[in-house]
Amino acid sequence: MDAPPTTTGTQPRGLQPETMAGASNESIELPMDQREVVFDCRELGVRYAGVRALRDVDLNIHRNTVTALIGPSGCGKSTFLRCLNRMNDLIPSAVVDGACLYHDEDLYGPQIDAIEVRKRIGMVFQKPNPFPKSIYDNVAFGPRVLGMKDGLDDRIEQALRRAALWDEVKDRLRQGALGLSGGQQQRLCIARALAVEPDVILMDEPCSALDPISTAAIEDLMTDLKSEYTVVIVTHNMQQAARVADMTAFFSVDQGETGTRCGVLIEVDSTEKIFTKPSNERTEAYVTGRFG
Amino acid sequence: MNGPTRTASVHATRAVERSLAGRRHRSLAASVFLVYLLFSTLVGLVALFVLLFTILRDGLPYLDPTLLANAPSANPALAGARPAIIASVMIALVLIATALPIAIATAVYLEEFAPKDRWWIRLIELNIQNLAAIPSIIFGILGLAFLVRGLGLGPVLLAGALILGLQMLPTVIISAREALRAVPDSVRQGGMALGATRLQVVWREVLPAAIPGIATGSILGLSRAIGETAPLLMVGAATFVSYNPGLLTQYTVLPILIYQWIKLPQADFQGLAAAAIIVLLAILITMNGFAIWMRNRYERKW
Amino acid sequence: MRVGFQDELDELCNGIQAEGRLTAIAVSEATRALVDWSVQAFDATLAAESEVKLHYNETEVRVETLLARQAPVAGDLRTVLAALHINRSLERAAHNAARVAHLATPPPRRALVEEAVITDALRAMGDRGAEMVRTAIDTFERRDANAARLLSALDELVDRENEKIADTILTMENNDPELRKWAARMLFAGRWLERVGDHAVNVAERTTYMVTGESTATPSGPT
Repeated sequence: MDAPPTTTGTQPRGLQPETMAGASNESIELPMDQREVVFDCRELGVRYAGVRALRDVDLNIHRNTVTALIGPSGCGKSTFLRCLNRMNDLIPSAVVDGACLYHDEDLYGPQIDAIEVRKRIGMVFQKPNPFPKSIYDNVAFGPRVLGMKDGLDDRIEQALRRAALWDEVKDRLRQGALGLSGGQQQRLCIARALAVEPDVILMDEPCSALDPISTAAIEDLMTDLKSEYTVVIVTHNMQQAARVADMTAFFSVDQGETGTRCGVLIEVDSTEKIFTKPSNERTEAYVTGRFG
Repeated sequence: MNGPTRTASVHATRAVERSLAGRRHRSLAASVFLVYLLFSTLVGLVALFVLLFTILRDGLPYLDPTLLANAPSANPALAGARPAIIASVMIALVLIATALPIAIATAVYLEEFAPKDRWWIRLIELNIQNLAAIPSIIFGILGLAFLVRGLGLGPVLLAGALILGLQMLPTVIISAREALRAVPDSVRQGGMALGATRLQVVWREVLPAAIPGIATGSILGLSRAIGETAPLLMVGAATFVSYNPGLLTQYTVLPILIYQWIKLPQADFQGLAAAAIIVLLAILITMNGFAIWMRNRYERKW
Repeated sequence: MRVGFQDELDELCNGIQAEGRLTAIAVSEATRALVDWSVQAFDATLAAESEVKLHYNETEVRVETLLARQAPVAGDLRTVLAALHINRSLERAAHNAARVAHLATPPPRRALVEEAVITDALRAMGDRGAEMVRTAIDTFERRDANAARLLSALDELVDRENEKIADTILTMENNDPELRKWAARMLFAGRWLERVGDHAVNVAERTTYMVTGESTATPSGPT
C-alpha cells in the first residue's frame, strides 16, 4: 500500500529538482555509455509472495537514450520496468531487493516517497488507458493532482505537441478521449505522462495493441522524445527494439533445480552490437529466433 | 495427374457435404430446446400479465384524486392513501441520506483500500453476503428489539426507515462493489503512474467512472425497500394513521395499507387496495425506469 | 513515418555517391599517372583509393546495421542490397585504378608507332572508364532504370580498345627486352582498366535492379 498523500511542497530528500527534465541536452552529443547515468541498478531483484521473479540485475540506464528491454515472456522485463517507478508497490506481495539508484539516490530508500518517484518517472502502459473523460481533462489530470495549476492550457498544449497529437485533437479537446483511435489514445497517454514534466518515460509494450501505422508513429515519437527525456521501453517485438533503441538489454528465464523459473539479465549492450554480434550465445539464440 | 486429383477433390466435396448435413440433426435438438426455453419464459410472463390485468380491472375504477388526497377512513367513499404515500416518500429520503452514503463508502473501502488478503476483511465480506440472504422479518425483529425498545424510539417512521436501510445495505454494497470492479485496473494504474495518491485516483477517476453503476444498484435497492412490508410490521407500521406523518410520529406505508384494506370485508376496499397497488407499481416502475435510463445513458464500454 | 530509417537510407545512398565520385577520380588520376608518368597523379590516385576504402568500410557497417535493425523490405531492401554490391564494385574499381597507377613506366621508345597506339588506347580506356563510373553513379543517384543498357554500350568501346592493345602487343616484331617488359606492364594495365569498365557496368546493373526489381546482373570475374 502507498504512503499517505503528501502535502504539496514537501520535497523528499535526494530526488533531483524538476529542472532536470529539460536542463541540458549536451549529453546527447556524447557517446551513449558516457552519458549521465539515470538509473544504476545493482543486484536488483523482485519476489512475489516469496517466489523469486527476477534476480541480480546490474544495469545502467543512460540519459537521453532509448533503452529497450527484450526477452521471452516471464523473463521479468516488465517486472524490472515497474521497479523503476515503484509500480510494484501496488502489488502487496511484491518485495524488491538490491539497489536501484536514480541519480545516485536509492529509489527504495527509507526517505523516498513512491508518489514523488512516479512524478519524476512517468509510465505508459501496454493497452492505452485514457480516463473516461475529455482529452483536455486527461492531460490535465496529472498537473491538477500535483497542484501545477498555473498556465494549465499552455502546459496541455505543450504536452500534446510533444506527443505529436496536437494537430489531430486541437479542435476537439473537450470531446471524450475514448472516441480517439487506439494509436491516438496511446499518444494521449504519452502526452498525459509528459504533462507533469517527468525526467524519464517508461513504456510497457506501448505498441502491442496498435496497428502498424500507429506503431510507426509511436516509434518516431520515441526517437523525438529522447532528446529531452530518458526512455525505457519493454517490447516483445525484437524488430521494434532494433529500430528504436540505442541500448538493448536482453532478459531470459533461468530454471532452478526445483523447477522454479526466475528472470535474469543476460546481456546489455548497444543495439547494433546485440543485433549483429551479441556476446552471449543465449542472446544470439533469442535474437535469431531460435529460442523463446 | 488429372485422375487422382479429381477423385480427391470429389471426396473432399462429399466430406464437406456430409459435415454440413450433420447440422440438420443438431438443429432439430436445438429447436426443441429453444421451444422449451420460450415456454419457460412465457410461464412467468403470463402470470405477470394475469396479475396486472386483474389489478387494473379491479383498481382503475377506484383510482381517483380522492385516493391520493384523502386519509384512510372507515367510509370507502372517503378513504385515501395520502399519509401512506407521504410516509413511503419520507422513508426513501431517509434511506438516501443514511444508508446510501454508508453503503457506497463501505464498497469503496472494501474494493479500493482494504488489504484483501487479511482474514478480517474476508470475514466482513462473508458477513455482507450473509446479510443479504437474511429473511426480512428478522430485520424487523432486530428493529423492534434495538430501535423501538432498546433505544426507546418507539414505533416511529425513523425506526422503520433505519431498519429498511440496514436491510438495504448489503444489496447496495454488493452492487456498488460490482460497479467499482468494472472500472478497469488500467485507470487506477494510469493515475498512480502520474504521481497521484490512491485517494486522488479513487476520488477523481474511479468513483466518477463507477457512478452510473452505483446509481443503478442504489435505485434498485431503494425500490425494493419501498415495496417492503415484513420488517415494518414488526416495528409498528401497522397502525391506522389519518394524519401526515413526521420522522418521529407513527406511520403507515403503502404496502401495509394495501394489506389492511384487503383484510376489510367491504368490496369497495378490495377495489381501493387494487388502486393503491397501481400507485405503488407506478412509483416503483418510475424508479426502476430511471435506473435503466441512467444505466443506458452513462454506461461505458471499456 | 520511420523518420530515422529514412535518414539512414539517405546516408547510405549519399555515401555510395561520394564513394563513386572518388572512384572516378581515382580512375582518371591513375590514367594520367600511367600515360603521363605524373607523380602527382600517382599520389592523387592512392589518396583517392584510400578514401574509397574508408567509404567502403563505412558502407559495410551501415548496411549491416540497416539489415539488423530496420528489416527493410521491397524497394528499401533492394536499395540496401544494391548498395552492398555497388559498394564492392566501386572498391574493386578503385583498387584496379591503384594497380594501374603502380604500373606506370615511360615507354622505352623502341617501336614508336606501336607505343603510341598502346598509350592512346590506354588513355582512351582510362578516360572512358572514369566516365563510365561517373555515369553509373549518376544513374544510381537519379534511380535510372536504363542504367544497365546505357553502361553496357559504353563497355563495348572499352573492350574494343583493350583488344586493340592486345593485338598490337602480340603482333609486335621488335624483340627488345625493355620493350617487351613495358608492353607486358601495359597489357596488365589494359586488363585492369577493362575491369574498371566491368565494375561500372555492375554498378549500373545493380541500379537497374534497385529500381525495377529485375535482375540483369551476370556474375563477373574474381577481380
